[in-house]
Amino acid sequence: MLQVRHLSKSYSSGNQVYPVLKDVSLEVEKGEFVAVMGPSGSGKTTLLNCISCFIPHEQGEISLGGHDISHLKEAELAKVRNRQMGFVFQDFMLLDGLSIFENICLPQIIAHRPVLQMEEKAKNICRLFGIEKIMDKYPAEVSGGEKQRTAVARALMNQPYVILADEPTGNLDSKSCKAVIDAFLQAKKEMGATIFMVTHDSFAASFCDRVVVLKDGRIYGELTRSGTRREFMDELLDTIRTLSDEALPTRNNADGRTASGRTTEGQRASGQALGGDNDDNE
Amino acid sequence: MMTMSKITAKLRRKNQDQYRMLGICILLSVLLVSSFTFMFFSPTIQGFLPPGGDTRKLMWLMLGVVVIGCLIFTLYGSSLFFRKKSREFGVMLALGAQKKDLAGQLFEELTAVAAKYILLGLLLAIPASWLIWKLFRTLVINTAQMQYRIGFAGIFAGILFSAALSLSILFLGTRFIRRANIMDILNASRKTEMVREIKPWCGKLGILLVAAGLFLAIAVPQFTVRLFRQGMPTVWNAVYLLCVAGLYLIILSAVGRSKKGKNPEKYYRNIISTNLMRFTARQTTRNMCVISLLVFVMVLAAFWGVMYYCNATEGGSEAAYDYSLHYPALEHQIGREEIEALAKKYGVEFTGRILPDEDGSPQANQETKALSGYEETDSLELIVHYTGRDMNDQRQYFDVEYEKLASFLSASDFTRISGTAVSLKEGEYLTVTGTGFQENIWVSVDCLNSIEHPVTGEHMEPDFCGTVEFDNLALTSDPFAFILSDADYQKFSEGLTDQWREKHILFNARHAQVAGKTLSSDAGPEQADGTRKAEESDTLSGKKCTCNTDPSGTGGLCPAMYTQGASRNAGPSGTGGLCPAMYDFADALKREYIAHATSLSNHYGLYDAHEEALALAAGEEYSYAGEIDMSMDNTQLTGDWKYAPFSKILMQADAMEMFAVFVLLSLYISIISLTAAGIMSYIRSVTIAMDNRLLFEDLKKLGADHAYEERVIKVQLRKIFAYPVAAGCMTVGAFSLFLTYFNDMRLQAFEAKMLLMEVLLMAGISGILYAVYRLSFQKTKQIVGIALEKH
Repeated sequence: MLQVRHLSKSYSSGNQVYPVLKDVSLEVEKGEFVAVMGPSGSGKTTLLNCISCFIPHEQGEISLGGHDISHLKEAELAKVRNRQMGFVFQDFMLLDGLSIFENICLPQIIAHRPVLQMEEKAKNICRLFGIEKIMDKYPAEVSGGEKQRTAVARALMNQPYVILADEPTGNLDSKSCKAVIDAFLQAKKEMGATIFMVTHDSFAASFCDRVVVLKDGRIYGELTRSGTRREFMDELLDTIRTLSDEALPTRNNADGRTASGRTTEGQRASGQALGGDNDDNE
Repeated sequence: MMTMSKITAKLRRKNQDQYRMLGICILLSVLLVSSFTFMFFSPTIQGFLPPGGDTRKLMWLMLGVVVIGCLIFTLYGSSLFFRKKSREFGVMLALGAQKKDLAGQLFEELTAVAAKYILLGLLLAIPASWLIWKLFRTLVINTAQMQYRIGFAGIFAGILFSAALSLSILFLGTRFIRRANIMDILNASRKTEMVREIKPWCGKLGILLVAAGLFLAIAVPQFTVRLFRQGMPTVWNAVYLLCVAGLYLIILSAVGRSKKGKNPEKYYRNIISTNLMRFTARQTTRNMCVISLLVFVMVLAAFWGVMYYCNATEGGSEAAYDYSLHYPALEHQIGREEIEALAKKYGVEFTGRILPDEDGSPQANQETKALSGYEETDSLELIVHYTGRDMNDQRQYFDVEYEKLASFLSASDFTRISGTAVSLKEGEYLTVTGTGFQENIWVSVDCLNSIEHPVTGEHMEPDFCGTVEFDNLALTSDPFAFILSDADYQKFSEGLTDQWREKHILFNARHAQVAGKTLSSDAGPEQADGTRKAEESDTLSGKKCTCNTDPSGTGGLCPAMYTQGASRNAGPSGTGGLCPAMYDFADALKREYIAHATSLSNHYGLYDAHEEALALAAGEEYSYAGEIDMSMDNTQLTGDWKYAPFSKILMQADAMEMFAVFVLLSLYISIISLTAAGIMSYIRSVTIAMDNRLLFEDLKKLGADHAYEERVIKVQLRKIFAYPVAAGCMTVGAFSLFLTYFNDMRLQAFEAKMLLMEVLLMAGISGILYAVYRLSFQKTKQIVGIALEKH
């Protein structure tokens, strides 16, 4: 469904060039729920912004549904964003002047879809996510979890190929976080949605089918869920510890080995090191 | 049913505050500019402004400033609108909306808002300009000539401005859409900018640049003219840009620089607000610079109004005689008997005058210093050869030998009429100047090379003996009037017919009081300022005459102000006391004088019969030939007419009229600049609050109480308001000081008084902006949630 091949991206400041993504390749299958984790500055959000075509990249190819979307013109990109992508942002990005129901309808309104069909679909999605009671309320009148579920519902309105979520649980308490993850799982189950989520929350990531771990702009490793969620979370936490240990300056670092003695590069990672907040807007 | 247009309509309704704010900016801008153009282009104001004169040029300049000021604050308001709109745009773009669709929708909205508020602004401009006009007529001046009239040009200019404003807003909209980038929009609220390290010398360099810019722009051209007879080219005015650069550096330093120094407690106390400002230093500095320039314009406009008035009323106020007429001797003009009859009709009588000493007290030797109430004298019109100066296209000054007619009086006649004893030997001459005359580049007081008898051609090369001040004569001859010894005068008068003579009538008059109590030199107690007190009632109006009594404590303003056909009047002694009867007399005298005038005196101010004869003989066209409109309706008569009658009361009334027009316009410019500065400061404050809402949340989490948060806001807002006002006021103060001093290389008492007045104006303007600061402070607190939580 989503393919990223040899993606490279750098930022420059004055004469200095800072590479952020270095030859990143990954694939997301249809109906798969994939998370990207990594420490601060690892390039998670940059990867998501490149896939969203919000920012250009220097090298590599991104294809969605078998079509290369790397070099599309503005108008074509707008269509792709509207019909093939759905977005969920950390700070919800709902329009305060529109009701929850209207916010959900927005992608279809932009696409000039028939109204009756649109309203019917929006109601169904509201029911699916348990937000039908707040349909007529405004964003300011609902909780953070409800706002984010609204954003998930909005992202699903045009049945996109993929939902791109940037730290969707970053601004939520644990209860709301669980509700949002449930919404994603429900979308995957009921609607066959493909979800690509950037997060630093190992609890949220533990619900995914697969977790891609980024470090210093490269893919450090991947974890695929095979057992229970709790076991998967333990694996993630192990990887966190490993990455944290590697960050410590030791004599062994010089020859590419971690403090615990495990080889990391090229191996399947078993956890992640998490930065405090979503600050890799390099 | 939901459609895109319904969604946008709903968003518009929900966000109507944003639209209203933009609309109010447009409304204010159109209202201020249109009401200004309605007045500026009204036939009445245009009639007062001499064609091609400096006043007209200055007014055009000020119109330019008004337009730019209004454009700036409206565009600033619209940028805030776009900023708020950006989130909506970001979401729409992320959800796949096309830029062109959003652009169409934005233009539709902008057009609707602009059309609505522009129309409202244009309509409101009519009553607004009428009300301001009415207010001026009530408070400052009320003459038949000051009729409210709107010309087509004013309406057209208002519409033109509105169109330009709409296009500018649409241009900003286009730029906003073209630059719209989802990442920038989504991160807009987090976006900060940082200036490079600000060096410690930055502020000092700024002060130096401002001072250097002002010196180079104002003083250097005066020096080059005086020393090298070379004017600076127009492009030299670009040195004013140094002032702008200096202003930028001063404010940048104030905004972005902070160090512990000797007061670390203060440094840490203000650390949050200082750093908040530093993070938006470039934007904040730019913003403050514009506000500083607006403050500059605002103070300068008001100051110029005052300065113009003072200059206008100073001219002639020192004249020894309140009335003086001069006309060709061949013309049968109004004489003593007719003037006396007229005076009697208006309850006015001639009066002597004791010339005060230099310190203002009456002179001890009254015999030599007392002037009679009425004097007549003749002057000879002799050909003078003198050296003057002209300027070429390269702004180089060069000497020119002139040959024209000038007025000459005998020493004894001058002593008689002026009360100043002069004695000259044969071959000597004195130059008559106005009070406080300062030599200029064009002609010097000792300019005479020779005097020629216009009939016999006999020459004399006289010796310069000095100058003598006498305003009544100084105004009658160009380049000067001169005094010869009695013997030389006698010699030159031989063989001269009346064709080469002018008559001069000079007199002082005062309003006569009832029961034979008059205000002559030997009647009534004299006040400390040399004026006399009137205690009897006005025989003409039946009202108590308030000449010089100033019972209301209004500084000599007459409560019995004229409402028909008259301005406020200067009192008989020229002290500012007002008397309607005196004005009526002066007006009637002028009317009679015009009625008696013939083609003999119908000439432009700089007309010279000898120059005309020379030009015609050389087959050239004479530029000052032609007739003028010698009527009471001609508002330019005093300036245009070679033989215009002089009366202090009318001169001050004319000055008052011009002053009213000028103040009306300059006050308007001040109001516009003040509005623009107020709105910009307010918007800046609101923007800071909006941008830093999260920071205040963080401060709360760190345990900051309301008092601390209030302090952070207050310190920041105080800087936003205080720095530009201080910088603008200091710059305009230095500008005014330089301008008044380097104009004639001296600072006169009345100029110092005006500078003091400017300081008061600054204080007033600062007071108004303080009120805006308080308003902004409350709004800012509301935005960051302090005000609400307190409740």
